[in-house]
Amino acid sequence: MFPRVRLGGTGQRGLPLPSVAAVAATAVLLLASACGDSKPRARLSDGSPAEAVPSALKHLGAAALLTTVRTVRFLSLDPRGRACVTLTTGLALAPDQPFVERVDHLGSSVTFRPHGGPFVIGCTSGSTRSGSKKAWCGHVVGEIRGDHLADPRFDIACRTAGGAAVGSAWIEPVHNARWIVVRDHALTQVYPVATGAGVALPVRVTTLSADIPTATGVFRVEQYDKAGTRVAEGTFRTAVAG
Amino acid sequence: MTTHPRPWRHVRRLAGTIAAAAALLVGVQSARAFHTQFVALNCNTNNPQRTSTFTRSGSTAVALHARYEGYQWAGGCWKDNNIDDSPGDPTENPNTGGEGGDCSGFTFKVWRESTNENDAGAYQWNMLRNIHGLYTADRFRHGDGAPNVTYAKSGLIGMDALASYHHIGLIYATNADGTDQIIEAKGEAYGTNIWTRTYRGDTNYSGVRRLGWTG
Repeated sequence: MFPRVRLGGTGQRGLPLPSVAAVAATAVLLLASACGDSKPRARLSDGSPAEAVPSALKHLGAAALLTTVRTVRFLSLDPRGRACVTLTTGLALAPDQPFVERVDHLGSSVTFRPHGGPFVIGCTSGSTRSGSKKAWCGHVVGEIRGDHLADPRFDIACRTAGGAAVGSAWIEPVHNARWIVVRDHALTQVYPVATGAGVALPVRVTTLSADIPTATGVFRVEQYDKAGTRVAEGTFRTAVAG
Repeated sequence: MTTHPRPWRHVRRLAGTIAAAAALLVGVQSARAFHTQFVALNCNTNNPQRTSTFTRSGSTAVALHARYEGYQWAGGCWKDNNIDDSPGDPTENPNTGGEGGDCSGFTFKVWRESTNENDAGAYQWNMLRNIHGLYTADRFRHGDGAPNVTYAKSGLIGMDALASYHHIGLIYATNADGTDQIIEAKGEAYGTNIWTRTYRGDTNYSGVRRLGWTG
């Protein structure tokens, strides 16, 4: 499910105006998109080319960008992933503790739920011009109550290579959701939902619609099942809190 | 051909109208109960005033203006009338528009922080200026932001903070037994007040200091 109380039309009146940097970043993406054909037209924040969206989601249009997801175990976590553990928790983790690593157009993240307990922990980073992996700039801790995330833990600590503020938040997939789609101005990002034991985790997504002075962000979210049928949609406005 | 008698149709229509009106009324009342519109009716978006003098006693005074006021998730606006003007809002909903800061929003204003993370200057935010600021308790705990640093708990003094991943409180006074009187925005059910806490001895809490005090 989505975080409680955050779906609905609450964001429509309070939409922050996109910053100049955000508009510029979106324009760059648009130009990159316009110059391509059916090949991937945009790169992810690590410099890799975005793969084409699955055929079930072709109706999203040519501008949709497929992000990547990877599940790794604690034992095989790279130094950057381990740095997130050090940054966020002093807990000793089991060797098979799963971590979900994501890379999208605006940055990257890692999410894990230590021992399957009541907390979800994440680290986020923005993008670099070289595409090299950037040190974590954001670190978030969410609390699970009644099987749901109490708050999406909106964070605005990271920036794109061009200096635009990147807002990030967790979205809980609804039952049967295979992909989460976030529409953000001209940028449409498709996030595969991780599947497997221990990785039923909220999906960390990003937006350029972060308003720094008010520390708020707006997410336009759709969720699709494996057939490409939309199973949920909504706009929610969230804020740095707690 | 069989037709319903007209009076019966009127009764059914009337019953439907009454039911719809009742449902609407219930909806409106419950919405009103959760939405006092405190922020909309009382708060502003005025610019802060940069200040060159920035003392711990001054920040203590700022903090005391929030004492006995409400708590709002992601909030940062309060009226100094010693009443929670928006009690009973749904918890952890940033859109309820109630009175008060949350723990990190309260700290942001009392510490007179900037909306630019790289700016260590001090800014006077009016208590009716609605702002939460850039940081969660967890980010304060890590000393994020130019003016903020982690600090040994043993050396903390008044208006330094103790922060965990989910909460932050400011030291109002230190008790002889090693506990502290903490001024904090505690939660929807508690509002903002001073309580004796053992955060200093709690391994989940770290010491945080705002730099740049002039006295």
